[in-house]
Amino acid sequence: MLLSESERGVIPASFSIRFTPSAKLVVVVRRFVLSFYTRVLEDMEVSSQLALATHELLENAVKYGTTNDAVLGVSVVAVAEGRDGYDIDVSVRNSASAEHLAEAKRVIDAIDARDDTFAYYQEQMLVASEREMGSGLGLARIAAEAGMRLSVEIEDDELEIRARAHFTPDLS
Amino acid sequence: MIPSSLEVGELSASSSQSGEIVNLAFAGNADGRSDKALEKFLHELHAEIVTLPVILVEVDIRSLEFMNSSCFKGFITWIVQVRRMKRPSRYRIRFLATSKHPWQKRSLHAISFFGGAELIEVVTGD
Repeated sequence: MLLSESERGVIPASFSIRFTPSAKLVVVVRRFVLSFYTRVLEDMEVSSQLALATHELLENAVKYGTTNDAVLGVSVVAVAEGRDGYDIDVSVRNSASAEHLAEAKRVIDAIDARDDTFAYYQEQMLVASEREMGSGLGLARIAAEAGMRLSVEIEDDELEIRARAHFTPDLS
Repeated sequence: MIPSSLEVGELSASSSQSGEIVNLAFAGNADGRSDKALEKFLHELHAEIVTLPVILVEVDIRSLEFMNSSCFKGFITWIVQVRRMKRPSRYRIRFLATSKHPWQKRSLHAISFFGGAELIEVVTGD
């Protein structure tokens, strides 16, 4: 039986991993997420969006984390009876400097304030072309390319950035 | 002279010229280990191309498993440079993509919208 061949469609499939993120390991984890959820969801498109969000959020932890510790959580949950589809959720928690905590919140608030995340992404692409350091595009890319909604929680020197979306499987 | 190759992290790139067309091929992973080198490579490529009678750069990313946002920025910066060129000498950029890596379709949609149809063309095959 395939993993997704349950009566309700997609079987809930979640995991979390705590590790010291590095550029090399981000690639390994992204490949795992893509491979695992392609099998679970039988939907390469959605799995690819999950993988993109995983990669961008983990790379933020590599670049801005102030300790050797990050926690990645990925979940796919079938929604309540009577509704189609499933909810997907990717989160990364790590510590960061006060400056970066504020910057992450500022960017996510800016994205959240816009109805058209693609237009915001286009504006940020132009801004990025003038930047000396970094691209500042990772979070906007998750919102615009993966179609996921971002939120952030900050507690002391830790932040958790979460990307969520609802997908309805194409049953045709 | 066109910079011929790049090997950094898990990313490799090679280039060649055939008449008025420059071919660029990328393979592997473009991530946090390769962003600066990629941006420098594209900057040097552009600086050389503008001295040559090139009308098209064909960028083959079909073997590129993934590109992160900081490497994406390298392409954006390049496109802005081309966009600022005067029309008669401006060259076009054609991306060759594959549906096997779904991120390519979404990222190239964003990049082609940014560059404009006059400048960017995307050809996607299996």
